[in-house]
Amino acid sequence: MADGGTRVLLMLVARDEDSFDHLVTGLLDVGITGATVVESRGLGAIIRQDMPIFAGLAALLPQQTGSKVILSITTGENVKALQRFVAELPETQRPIGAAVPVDQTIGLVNPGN
Amino acid sequence: MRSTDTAQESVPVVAESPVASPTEIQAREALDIFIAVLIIVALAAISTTKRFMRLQRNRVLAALVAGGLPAFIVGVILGKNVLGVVEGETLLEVRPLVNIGLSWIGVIIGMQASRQAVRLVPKVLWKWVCLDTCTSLLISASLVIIVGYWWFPASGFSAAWLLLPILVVSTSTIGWSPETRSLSRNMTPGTSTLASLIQGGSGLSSLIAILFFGILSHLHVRTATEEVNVMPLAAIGDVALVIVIAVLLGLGCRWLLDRTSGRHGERVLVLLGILALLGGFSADLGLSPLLTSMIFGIIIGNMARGTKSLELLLTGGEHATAVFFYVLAGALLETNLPVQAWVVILVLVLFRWIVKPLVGKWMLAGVIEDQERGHRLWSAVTRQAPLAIVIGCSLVLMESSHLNRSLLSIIVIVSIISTVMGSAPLRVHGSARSSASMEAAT
Repeated sequence: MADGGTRVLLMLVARDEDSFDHLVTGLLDVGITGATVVESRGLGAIIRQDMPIFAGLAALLPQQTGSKVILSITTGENVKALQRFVAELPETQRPIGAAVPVDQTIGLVNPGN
Repeated sequence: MRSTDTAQESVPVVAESPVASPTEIQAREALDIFIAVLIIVALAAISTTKRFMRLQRNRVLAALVAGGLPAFIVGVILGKNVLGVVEGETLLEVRPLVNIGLSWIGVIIGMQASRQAVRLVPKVLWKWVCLDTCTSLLISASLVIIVGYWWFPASGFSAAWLLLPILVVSTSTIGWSPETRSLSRNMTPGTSTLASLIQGGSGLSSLIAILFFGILSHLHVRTATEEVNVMPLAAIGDVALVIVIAVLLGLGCRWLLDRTSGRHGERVLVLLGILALLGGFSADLGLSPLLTSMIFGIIIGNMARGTKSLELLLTGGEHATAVFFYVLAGALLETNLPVQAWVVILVLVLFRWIVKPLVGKWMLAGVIEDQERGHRLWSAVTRQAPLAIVIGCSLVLMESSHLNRSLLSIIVIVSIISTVMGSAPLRVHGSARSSASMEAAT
């Protein structure tokens, strides 16, 4: 992950509502108060829905799996604190994600807060 | 001319020729079963690989794979008609495994019937599925009765004897294939709705088909003297038992899931244990494994929490389970079908090709636009539901007679023809596109 004070783009995927709920708590705890949340679907869900063999009724349900992508520009320190928080979560509720260094930003007044 | 001495010498040679002892025969049979299971499970496992998934991105292949065509061909090649590596009879020796497969499919179909999903079924879809089911049952039952009296005129069979063939053929005609991706090019919001209705209708039809076959097959009772009787009271008792077992196992499953830490491995263990119990209870008590597991699936599908991951786990194995049954059906295929069976096949294919889309277009007249009436998505309705193959296999599992294998073969051949015919628009469309591109280029 990134070094302490550098700005990073944090990308996290919470696979379900439970996992997302814990993650929001963690973000707030470490001081990340600005983030964008995007409803998402995993590739597996798309493949399953594309090619049902026996069960087709799910096609009538809203296209949501509870999976969400969280994007935030923050600092490396916050990411490290979040890593410590995530490590304490049950394995099934840990999000997956990555943080990449950001050279420049547009429209952010105070990135990292 | 051979001398007497030579003849005498030949006697000990014959006597010393290796004759397998009962233990050796048993060991060879066990090895045959092991090899057959190994081959079929390996083939099923291949269907879950990334390479196989990638192959299915091709629309024509997607349609053919969903219809089971490649797996049928593999089954036929491995079966008694060609290589004889995987004998159908050998596979039927592993009934517990087949029962677990049946239970797996029953649970998948049952779990989709959550309160949320059922509430979202539009009225028009209920009407369409009901009319399609009634038409399918009427046509196919009449067909089997007429052809049945022609097929077996002198065997002294009763109307009760015909019940099972009627049930199997009728059930196989209910519904259609849920696979629409292969037909979903140039989609508009209207055609997307149509695709959802086709998939949803297929799911509803699967539920109805299992209910219909599961309940009515319990009416059919074979006595000790090989007579076939229809016993409604016994059927009511059996269905009540099915419900009790499914409810108890559903509650047990809930209890066990609550005690897991939520880890994947623990959930898999609970799932496999429950499926084995479902299959075991059904086999031991002579109940329909599909019906028992479907009711169990409905129960756990409507539990508040923790079942989503279970559903994902089950649907993850959907293709592998389907391939297992497709290969099994291919290996059990009878090639010497009488002309009466071919008449049944011809009528069923024509029924699917002509009547099914008509019924659908008529029922959805107020919902779809004119341009959607001619969309090739309607080809999905002409393809036989994969569940029909599973029901055919479960029939042979109940009793591996020549008639039951012939009925399974009818279902398999209808499936192959309807899949190929249903995929024809893809090729036509593909060539039309190519021609148009060439014209544009010149």
